[in-house]
Amino acid sequence: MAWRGEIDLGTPPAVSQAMVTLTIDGRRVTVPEGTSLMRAAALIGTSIPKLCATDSLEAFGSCRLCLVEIDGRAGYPASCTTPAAQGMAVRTQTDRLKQLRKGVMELYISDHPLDCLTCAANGDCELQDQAGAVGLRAVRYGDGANHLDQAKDSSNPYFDFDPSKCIVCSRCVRACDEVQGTFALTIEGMGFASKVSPSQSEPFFSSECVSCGACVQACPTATLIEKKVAETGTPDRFEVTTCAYCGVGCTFRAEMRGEELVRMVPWKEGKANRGHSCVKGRFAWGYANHRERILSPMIRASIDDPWREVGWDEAIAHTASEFRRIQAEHGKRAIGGITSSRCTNEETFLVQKLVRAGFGNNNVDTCARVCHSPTGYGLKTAFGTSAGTQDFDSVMAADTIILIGANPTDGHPVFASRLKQRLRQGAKLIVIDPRRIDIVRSPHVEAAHHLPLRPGTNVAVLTAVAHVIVTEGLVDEDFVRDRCDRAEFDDWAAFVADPRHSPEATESLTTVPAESVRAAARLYAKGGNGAIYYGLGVTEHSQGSTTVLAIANLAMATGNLGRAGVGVNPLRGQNNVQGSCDMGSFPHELSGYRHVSDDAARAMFRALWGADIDHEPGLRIPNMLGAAIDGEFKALYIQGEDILQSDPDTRHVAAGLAAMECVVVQDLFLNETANYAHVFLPGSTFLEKNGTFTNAERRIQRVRKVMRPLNGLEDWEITQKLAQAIGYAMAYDHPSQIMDEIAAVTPTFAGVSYDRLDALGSIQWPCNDAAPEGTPVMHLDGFVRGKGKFVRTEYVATEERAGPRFPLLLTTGRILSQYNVGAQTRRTENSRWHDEDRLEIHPHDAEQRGILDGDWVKVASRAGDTTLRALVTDRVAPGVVYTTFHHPATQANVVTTDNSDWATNCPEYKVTAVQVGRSNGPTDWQERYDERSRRSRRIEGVAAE
Amino acid sequence: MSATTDKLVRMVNQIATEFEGQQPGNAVAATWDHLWHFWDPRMRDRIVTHLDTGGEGLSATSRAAIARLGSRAEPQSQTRATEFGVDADGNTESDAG
Amino acid sequence: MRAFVSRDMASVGLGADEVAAALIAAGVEVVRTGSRGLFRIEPLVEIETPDGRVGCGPVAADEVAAVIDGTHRNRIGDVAKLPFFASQQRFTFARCGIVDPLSLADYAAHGGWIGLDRARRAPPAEVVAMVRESGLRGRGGAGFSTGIKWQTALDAPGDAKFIVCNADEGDSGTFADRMLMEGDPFCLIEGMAIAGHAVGAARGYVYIRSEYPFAIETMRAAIALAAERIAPFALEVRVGAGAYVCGEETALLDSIEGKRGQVRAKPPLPAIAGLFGKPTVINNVLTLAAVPFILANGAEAYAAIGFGRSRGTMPVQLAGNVRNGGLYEIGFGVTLGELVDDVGGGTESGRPVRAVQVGGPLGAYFPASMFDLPFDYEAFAAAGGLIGHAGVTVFDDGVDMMRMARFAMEFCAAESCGKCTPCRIGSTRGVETLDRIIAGDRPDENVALLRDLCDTMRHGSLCALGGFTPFPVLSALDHFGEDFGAADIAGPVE
Repeated sequence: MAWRGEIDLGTPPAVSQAMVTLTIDGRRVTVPEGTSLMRAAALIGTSIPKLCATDSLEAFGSCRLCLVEIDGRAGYPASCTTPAAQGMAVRTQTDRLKQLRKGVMELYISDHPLDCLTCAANGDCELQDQAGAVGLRAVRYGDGANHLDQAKDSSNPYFDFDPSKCIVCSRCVRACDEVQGTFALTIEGMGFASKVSPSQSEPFFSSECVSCGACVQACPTATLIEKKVAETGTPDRFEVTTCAYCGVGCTFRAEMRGEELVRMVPWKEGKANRGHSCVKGRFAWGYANHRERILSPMIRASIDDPWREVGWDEAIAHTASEFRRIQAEHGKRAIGGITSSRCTNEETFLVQKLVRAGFGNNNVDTCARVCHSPTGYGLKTAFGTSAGTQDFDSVMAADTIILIGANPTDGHPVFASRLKQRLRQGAKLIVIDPRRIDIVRSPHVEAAHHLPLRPGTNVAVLTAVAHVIVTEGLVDEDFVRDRCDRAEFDDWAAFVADPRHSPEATESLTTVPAESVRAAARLYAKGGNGAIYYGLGVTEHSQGSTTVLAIANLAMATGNLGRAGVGVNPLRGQNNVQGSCDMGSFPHELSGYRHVSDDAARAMFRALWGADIDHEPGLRIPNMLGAAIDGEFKALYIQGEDILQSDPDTRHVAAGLAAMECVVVQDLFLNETANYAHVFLPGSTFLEKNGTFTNAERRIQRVRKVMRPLNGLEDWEITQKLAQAIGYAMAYDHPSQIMDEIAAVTPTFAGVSYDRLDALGSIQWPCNDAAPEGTPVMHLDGFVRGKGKFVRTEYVATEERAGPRFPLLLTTGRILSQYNVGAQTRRTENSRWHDEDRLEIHPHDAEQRGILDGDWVKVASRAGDTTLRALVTDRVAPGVVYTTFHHPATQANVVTTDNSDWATNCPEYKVTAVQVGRSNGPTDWQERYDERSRRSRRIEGVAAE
Repeated sequence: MSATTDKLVRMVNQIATEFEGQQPGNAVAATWDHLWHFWDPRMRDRIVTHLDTGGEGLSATSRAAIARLGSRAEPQSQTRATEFGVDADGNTESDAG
Repeated sequence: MRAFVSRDMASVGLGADEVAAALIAAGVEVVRTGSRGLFRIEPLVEIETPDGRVGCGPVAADEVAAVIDGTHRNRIGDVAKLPFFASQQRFTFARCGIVDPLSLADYAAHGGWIGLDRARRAPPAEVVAMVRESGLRGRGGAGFSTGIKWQTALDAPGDAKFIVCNADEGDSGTFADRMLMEGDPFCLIEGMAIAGHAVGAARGYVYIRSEYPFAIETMRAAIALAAERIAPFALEVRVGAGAYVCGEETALLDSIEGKRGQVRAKPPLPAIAGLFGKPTVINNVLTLAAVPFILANGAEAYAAIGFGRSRGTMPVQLAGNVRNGGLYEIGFGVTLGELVDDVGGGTESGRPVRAVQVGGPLGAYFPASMFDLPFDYEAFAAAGGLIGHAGVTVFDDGVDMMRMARFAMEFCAAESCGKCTPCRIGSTRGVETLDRIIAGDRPDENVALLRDLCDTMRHGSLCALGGFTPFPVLSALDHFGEDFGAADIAGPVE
């Protein structure tokens, strides 16, 4: 339901350029052609009674409260479905209309419980409001048929469905269809027996519902209502803030009652999510108060000791003295830090500042290393900017969409909903993915082409697509001539035209039928605006950077850049991957992607920071761990990242961490990495701090503090204290000052400030004098680097190959209800949907191994082995197995190897040769690790649970 | 050969192979440029030392690139690409960054 | 010897199949036709003679010998000369009952395809102009100008357009659509092909209710036979699942699209954004079947007949307690009394006519005192009723009009799609309120409430189902108030 007092204009805006002028109750109003009378009236402050209309949904015309009179027209048309016309004279308040509206409301109330005072929506109910507005005073129908004894469905962990209060306005059904695109809800039955039904009369929990919350938000009564609201009462204030889950960057109203968060409701004005949400951002925030959250700093001398709770001062002083000691004994470069793509820009900026200016080296890296570092490398090489080219709105202007290595309905659900909206409008979809992901075929959406390639052959497939575009004359010659380097294009075109790159020649390698590749290439090249969206299935390969280059080549060759509806769009995994990269989290780059060897840039920092910056690149995460094993790297400050669970080759990570003398983990929970830590600094949640996140579309959005940090300090304050303790001065009073500093040293952020963000809502960088309100679409007239750069993309097979010992290829991914390592989502009711990771295996491969659905199986690679349960499904091709890695018990990364992208060392999570067999239980490693984990989590004076 | 050195050999060979495909005539310079811009000096020292002691496992391109690294010459800064409207033609072929 | 026996569902229900089998057994060649439309004489057998067809009916299977030797007791002679037929103006049903419905040769021999050929020689705009000038209005009930509807679809930009025929004939007492589809399917096909040419549509759908298995079978067979003749226009039959509301044009479109059959709010008009969001002409069977005549004989020939703004003919269906039940096609302007008394021959029971419901279950009940009402869209609307699909159901003086009012609400409650509130909840409340009146519970108060409810439904409902349900209820109250037991049944002035 809409926030009380938030203006609901009733119907969505019309897009016409033509304007019409009409009068409503004698007042003139001019609106775009196609605007509903209801919306036109609302725009001049005239609210027409309504129940089935809301401006996030197409007009439906079912409640019949919004009837109006129009001069010269018979009857009483519904104002929601009647478009404004030039010269129309409309009356919204007449005795006759009052009579009709009262008659309709009397019918509504004749089938509604009169329990307003004890209703969860009391005071926040549109039915209640409208009954008052039409002046209903009595219901004359007496006892009759009703739905008052309909049973409540409380199966969903986050909201209740009470059909006895339902007015059958279909807003929930329409929200599920139009906004979310899942089509999980329907109206079952006819006439008076009509009722809202999830799937085929199933409880919400077991239905197709994905708990995005759109139906709850759309419901005008208490029929669909958050359990928390029912428990706590209606909220009385709110702050707008940004979700801390994926890279879509949804903005929410955090609705509070006192200090208690009552609910998170997607903010209609949010430009990334346009009022929509998913189960994670909308509901899965209960971890903030989870009993396992650590609120007190802790230290210990050895990782075999139990933790000892200490005060902040002691923890900080201990850490600083350890860091100073180690640098004194082992050199300046023996320590480093890891920034978090989960933390704010300001916090990330501060950590890398601590490392570069305080530690005096460039040993800083970030979790983007393991997800989108190839995006930064590839797009900077091709276009000159390490970022996606579009805003999310752009998808609504796309005609042909290639989705490669991304599974947005699970990983980026709010973007997936917009994508599906566009597909339902008629845009064509090409999916390049080894798995038959949901969007390949789902209600009212079907991919024109699905190219189920063998994992690891992205470059071969995309080069084959390029071959078709070049050899069939599908190149946008004008674009290439005007915008790209001609010599490089010619070299590339000759390269891809070589017959060895044809779809027919590569078919045996990629397993994609040549004709599918040709058809997809023709569609992308000539099917109107072509847009490419991609995810970690592109980057997490030994040729991740090359694949990004191949994508850039395709977009340039077909002229699909520099306007709405096209572009190269990385779907970022974490809320602030883009931001953490922008902020200079990589060991070779300062903020704004300037290399540490850039004398001018370093001079600028020296002037502001009063410290010299090393002109040599520092260590990347895997190299830090390797150096630790070699005894050259001794201490690490890790803010908000669980590298033990998330990084590949767990045994190598564990060995590296175990070799260090001081591992400092700053996090909400005792994560897996903390098992190897000597200092634990409790972190704050996104609800407890101020800052900004930058989403996948380069959109900088505010994170606003809605409650005090339970741990006592915002994360940036902890870093600041640590800097002060090692003797490097930092004295910020508020993150806005950090942003001012970022703007001062980062050309692409020059125009960004908290005042500007508050005024504009959000800003997409670059934001500077040339683009004071930011840049929704990049490379409009020319590429940032000048001419677009074509790069040859020779396919180099990964060293990871299926063979007799390891005949299957394992690839990994995500599921909707869980997020990344699951630290947060596992501590919410979301685990009810996904309480373990499963291994998807094709029936053919399962049959060969005697594996039945649900059996425990062992997955072994050359790196290690683990056990989990099997899910037999033809969603994966024969020869391919798939799992998620949300649960630490699974230890999926024990199996993944140390292979990585050639340019960025982004790990090759997506291809591991494995063998799968039936198993009786956990592996030795799993058992030993469990024991270590249990011992490591002991806290002195706190009984184990 | 230590595990770390073994890993570095694999990494540099992977880079060299990639540039052999991307820039057939310029793979040595591109590999050298890449190592210089992305590798911590300790990693570079270790791989130079490895070459000096025989360079087991290194490909020809890798060897040539590491040899150039050992000469201590510095390529141009790579920040040009982030600046607006700069002509892409530079002295080094790679715009890695 | 050749004989003609109807294969119409009504005739079959009366034993036509058995009669035909007996004739064949007796060595007679039997041609199965549609029904001529007077059910009192079905099963009708017509024997081909040098002097034309000689009819006998009704005929029982064990009586065929008498038919063959010309001694049957129900020998009629030339059926067309019966006053019931002689007084008709058959434009649309000219071939029905005479030709073999699935004979392309018969169809061509009886003037078929002339309209389509003429249409295809003319530019689309000219065809649309002819239809507009003929004065043809939608025969499904709304009476909207077909020419204007087609013009809108012609003018609407679209990469694909559709012609949809509404053959979801759900009104009680109506059967004209069915008879035409079973008796002269090519006529409808020709009309749709003309419409396709006129608006630029390449594809058409005939939406037939599942309760019409014969019509479905006949249309499918006829479409297959005519496919080449109408190409590149292509047709397909879609079968409805029996919801009355799917006869409402936008619900019908949803149903074809595979969705739940729910009424769409208009605008957008289907002519602009209809089936699958594309410009769509959706017309009733009788509307489309009138088109070949107009094209073949000219707009003037069609417009020459009629009354006021209602031009051309209407295939009226006489049903209920009436002696001459059947199909009677006549120019507009005939009075209700002429139809019931002269054509219909009064009640079958022989008792006095008390009420006539025109336009299906949502039409108004008229007393005999209103029998001078001319059959005309505007005249009926002015009298608080509607022509609808021209079903005329006759009741004798045994009818309880309070129960008929209740039936109207009950029908609405059973068939409501549930989308809009006045119909969804109002129809159920209407039944309950009438039950109170029937039970004698505060009749004055409840009649007042019933009138308020009818006002809400009439003016608040999204479509004609809820919007027209008040017609039978209010007309029962207004014309037959004595059945309601309330002291004051007078309604408020609207």
